[in-house]
Amino acid sequence: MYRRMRQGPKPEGARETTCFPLVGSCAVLAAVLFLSCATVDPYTAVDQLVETEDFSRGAEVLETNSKKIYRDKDRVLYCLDRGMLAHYAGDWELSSSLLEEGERAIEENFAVSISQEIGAYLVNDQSREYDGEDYEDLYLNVFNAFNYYHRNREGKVSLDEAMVEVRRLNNKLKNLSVKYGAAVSGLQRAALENKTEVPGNPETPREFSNSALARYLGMLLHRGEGGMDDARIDRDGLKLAFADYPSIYDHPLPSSLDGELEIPAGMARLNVMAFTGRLPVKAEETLRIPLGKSWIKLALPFLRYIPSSVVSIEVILDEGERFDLELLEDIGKVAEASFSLKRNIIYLRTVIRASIKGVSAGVLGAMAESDSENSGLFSLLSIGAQIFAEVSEKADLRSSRYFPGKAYVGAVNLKPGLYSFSVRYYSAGKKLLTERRFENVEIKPNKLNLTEAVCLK
Amino acid sequence: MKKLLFGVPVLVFVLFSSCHSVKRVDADRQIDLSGYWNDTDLRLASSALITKCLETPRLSQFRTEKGRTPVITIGTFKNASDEHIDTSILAQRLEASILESGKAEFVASGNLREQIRVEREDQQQGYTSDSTAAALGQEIGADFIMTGSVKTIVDQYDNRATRSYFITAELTDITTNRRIWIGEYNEIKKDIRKPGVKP
Repeated sequence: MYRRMRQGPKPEGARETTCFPLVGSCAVLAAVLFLSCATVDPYTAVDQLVETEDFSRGAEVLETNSKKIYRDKDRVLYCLDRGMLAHYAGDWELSSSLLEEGERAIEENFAVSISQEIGAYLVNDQSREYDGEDYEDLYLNVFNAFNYYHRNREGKVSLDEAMVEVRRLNNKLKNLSVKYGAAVSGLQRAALENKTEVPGNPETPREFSNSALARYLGMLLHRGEGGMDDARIDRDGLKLAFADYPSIYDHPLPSSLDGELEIPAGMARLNVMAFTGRLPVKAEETLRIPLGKSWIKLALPFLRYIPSSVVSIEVILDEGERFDLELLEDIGKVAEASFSLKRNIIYLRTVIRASIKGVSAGVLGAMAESDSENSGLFSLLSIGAQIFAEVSEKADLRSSRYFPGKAYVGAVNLKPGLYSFSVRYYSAGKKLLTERRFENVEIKPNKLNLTEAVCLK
Repeated sequence: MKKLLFGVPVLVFVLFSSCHSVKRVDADRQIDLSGYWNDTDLRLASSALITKCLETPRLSQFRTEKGRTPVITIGTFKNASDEHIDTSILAQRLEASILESGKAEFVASGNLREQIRVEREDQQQGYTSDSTAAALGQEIGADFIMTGSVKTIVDQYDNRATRSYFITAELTDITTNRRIWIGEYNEIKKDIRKPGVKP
């Protein structure tokens, strides 16, 4: 018998099935009083501004509250969250500087801290430094490449800098495939050479080690620089990602992919990448298992999805031509796959830690009953141990919050020149949610003409 | 008393070890922190390329054939690595050293050339005295363009990585497109090991 609680609105029909003894109730009350100020979600104000797409103000509020939201151990998270908000706000330089700082922090946090590991087993998982997920380490380069691409369009930096990010991405993808033992099978090689549908490789590890989004951006930037061989390698890598991770890429390859490396002579290609929605966030589920006169509290993380209203996206040129954007990568599914791989070890560690705390309180309680001379002292220690368990047992809910949920892509070949167009986001029933305007964009031949549109609704 | 004798030095050590400090060191001193491109790499690469460039007989041949010092302009030094490297420093070091050697002259390139032209045009607007205004049509055309690149190859497994750098510089004849000199430096290879655990 256990009692289950989830942070946030209480589910309909939820019941409390366990009656706690008086001592336990006191401990819970003390813990609740102690924690009452800490349970307010510090991200709420920022999330509301992000919802209304006021990214500059959201970034300001995040900065103001950064000391409350992030501890020293959360430097990676701060850099990723703040860096992404700066990106959406169009502050490319600041975004680059933060994402690069986040990347350095991920590298520095490679080493396992013995004291923090001990803390994770004695206190909670938040005792550890946040070292970033593999997918966060990849996506920071994706958006930093965009930062440099935008700055290049403003004439501030060379496109070489965006290519640096693409090379870093490629190195990381290579490293992940070596780390997890991913390889391209003979059948896959043959399919790529014969331009037929690429089959999945049953030997592919479950760990995420290839990103279609990263490959797509690499393909475009390499093509823009005239590196057609490198662009083809990235396009093949994209196809392999779809083949090897069918649970993440459970949608067809974008139809525009076929034309990416075959632009007719004298024509220029307009590529549009649109980002929508938000990544799932981690929430806490609390279980209490009675143990004599005390109990074991388990605080477990689970993923809570933030629904997106966007169902379809289209690009409409002022000249009348239009095309749909197609789903390339569901970043939320990548985050989910990464979390599900770590879930078992997180749950095991939580059970071990919570059991140590709960059993300690129980043993002290039993000693209070058997040792009449020191009964008061042991009772106090037992209550203290239970309060410590209540207060300290928290799920690690840390994960980056402001990467987008989904990436869509599309492209069209045009005669070189100036074009104005709109990117329209629709909800169910083709209801227009929002529109992004792009005025007088110069579409050049043999160059990358990439437009980024964001709607996190 | 024993505890005090032990405690005071520990306290002093802790206080001083947490202080921010700056110490000036010899500019040539090798200090590798992150494993990425640093001033030592720049110095090694530029010194080697400068030596190779000054040793090439092509510049002397040009002087013998044409009876004047060759004129070079600096083109793009491409960063084809996986790091955000400011390649203009490498280009500037090459330019400064070759100029100092007297084996070649340089003319302004890129943005600087545009700035100078704007200034020269401005001097023709009537605000500058005729005797001091810079004349139009007197620019010296370059004989050669110097370009280059920095590339990296990274191999990584677990907590160990190697980073190898390949730095090249080239002189190309602007009239004929003939490459008159190519220098490369590929002696930088770093074996980087990240600690697996920390206290």
